[in-house]
Formats: sequence, C-alpha cells, structure tokens
Amino acid sequence: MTKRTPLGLALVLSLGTAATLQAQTASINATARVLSPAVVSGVEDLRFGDVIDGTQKTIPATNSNSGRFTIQGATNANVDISFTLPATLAGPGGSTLAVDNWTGEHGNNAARGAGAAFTPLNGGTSLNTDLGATSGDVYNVYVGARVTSAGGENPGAYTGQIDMTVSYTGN
Amino acid sequence: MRLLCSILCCSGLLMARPLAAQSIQAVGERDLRFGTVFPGLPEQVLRTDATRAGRYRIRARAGTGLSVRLVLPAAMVGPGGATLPLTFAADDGGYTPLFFLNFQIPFDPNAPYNFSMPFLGTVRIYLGGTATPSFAQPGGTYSAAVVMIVAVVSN
Repeated sequence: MTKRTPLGLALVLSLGTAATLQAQTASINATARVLSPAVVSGVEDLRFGDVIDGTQKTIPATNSNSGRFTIQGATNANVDISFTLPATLAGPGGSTLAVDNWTGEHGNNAARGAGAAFTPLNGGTSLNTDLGATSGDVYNVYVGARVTSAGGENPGAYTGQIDMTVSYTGN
Repeated sequence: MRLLCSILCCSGLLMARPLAAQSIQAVGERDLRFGTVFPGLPEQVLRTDATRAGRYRIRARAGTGLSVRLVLPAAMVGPGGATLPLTFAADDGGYTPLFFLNFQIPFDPNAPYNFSMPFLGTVRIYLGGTATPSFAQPGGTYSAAVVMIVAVVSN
C-alpha cells in the first residue's frame, strides 16, 4: 500500500525592511595662536630746548634730547613702522617754527648711539624691522630733527606732535 | 507499479534578506590649523594646504550614496572667552576619492555635499577657511570643533 506522505509546504515570505539610514560623525578642531598686540609708547619728547631767534637748531636722533618711542610685542615679529610728522611747531600768538631734517635710530634694547640709523618719513612706511627674540624685550625708536626760527617769532613755548604707528606684517 | 511520488516535505522559512546594514566609518584625521595669527591680519588656509587644511576620512561600501554635512563654527574661542571669527567660502570644501591633495573636487562646506562612494571605498574631505582677528584681539590659543556628519542616502 502506497503511502502518500502529505505534502506540506510552508512558505513564509518575509519582505525585508526598507534601507536603514545611518549617520556617522567625525570631528576635528580649528586652531590658532594669536600674538599679543604690540604696545607702542611715547616715552621721551624731542626737546630742542632754547632756540635763538633767527637761528636753526638740530637735535639728532643719537642726542640725549631726542624723542624716544618703545615697542613691546610678539617675539621676532616683523613690523612696519610709520610716522606722522609735524611740519611746524606752534607757539604763542600763532607763531610757528619750521621742523625738518628728521633723523632716526632704532634697535632692540638699544641705547642712543647704539642702534641702526633710518630716516623717518611723514606717512608711508619708514622702517621695517623684526622685534626682539626674547619676551620682555623693548624695541627703541629714537627721532631727531632740525627746527628753524625765521626770525621775529613770538617768544614762548612751541610744540608739535609726532605720531608713530606699528603694524605686524605677518612675515 | 505505482510511481512513488516522493515529495519532500518542504517546509521552512524563506526570508528575503534585509538590505545589508550600511557600514560607514568616519574619522577626523587632521585639524584645521591657522597657526600663528597676527592681530588685525586675516589668515587664510586653503583646502589644498598640505599641512594646515583640515581633513576627514570616510569609508563605506562602494556605490553607497552618501551625504556629508559640516557643522561650521562661526568663531574660535580663546582666553577669557574671547572669540576669533571664522568664515568659510564656497570653495573651502574639497572632496577627493584619492589621497592626492591636488585632485580635490571643490564644494561649498556651508551646504550638504552628496556623492557616491567610489570603488576604492575611501574618500577624504578637506576643509580650508579664514580667521579674521581684530586689531585688539587678545593674544593666546583659540580653538573650535568642526563636526562632519555623514549619512547614507541610497545604496
């Protein structure tokens, strides 16, 4: 007798699920080191002292009465130095004394007479140099000039302003 | 003679295999390094900069459709909470299926970037940018995280 085995078929069809969205993250940093801004100070005035009527008087940058600026900034940083220079000193009653023949000297921790000479210009870059290599170094800039009395000016005190600007070049 | 039919009883479960789970690996390989920055002087890093451009690596199965989105910081943070502004131009993002820096395809990192994973299964994402310190920017070290999010969009 033939036995017939029952036919059984079970078929289960399972559909896969929709694609699963995945996300991954990764991180890096943006980094920078900012150098401290340069500190520029006017330390000593350019002092012509007494000027005799009708004469000229020159104070060179190496003279003890020359003007002095100091710069403290990032070590070894390259800087541009520029000036705004007065053409005259203003005095009593509208009198003026002409100022010209500017001279300069500069150097890291340099005393007068020990730095490098340069010519200050009115506007534009007068000097490009590197600041000192040691933190705490003081970069000195000395300026001198010549004052001229044409004669007949009112006696009294005469003054003018010298501005120095220092900019990092990034070089 | 009867034929014996023997039919194997067949039973079982037939399941269509679900779509394979997509495996993505994403790592940050190099920081975006602006280096020494001077107050008042903007500093730009090109995405092709061999040492300073930021870099990520993505690995996935070839043919996988991926979308990359960068979460870009508006500024780095430094001493005392001082901020150093950052900007990212439309061509500061770079994609390369090869390890060669100069074969980058530029893209805007400010928007998602979609691509299909090439047969090598590995790509790199490069990032440049510009830091703009003020003249009075306090000196010190600044940093910010730049996060890349990679998602599968098709396979």
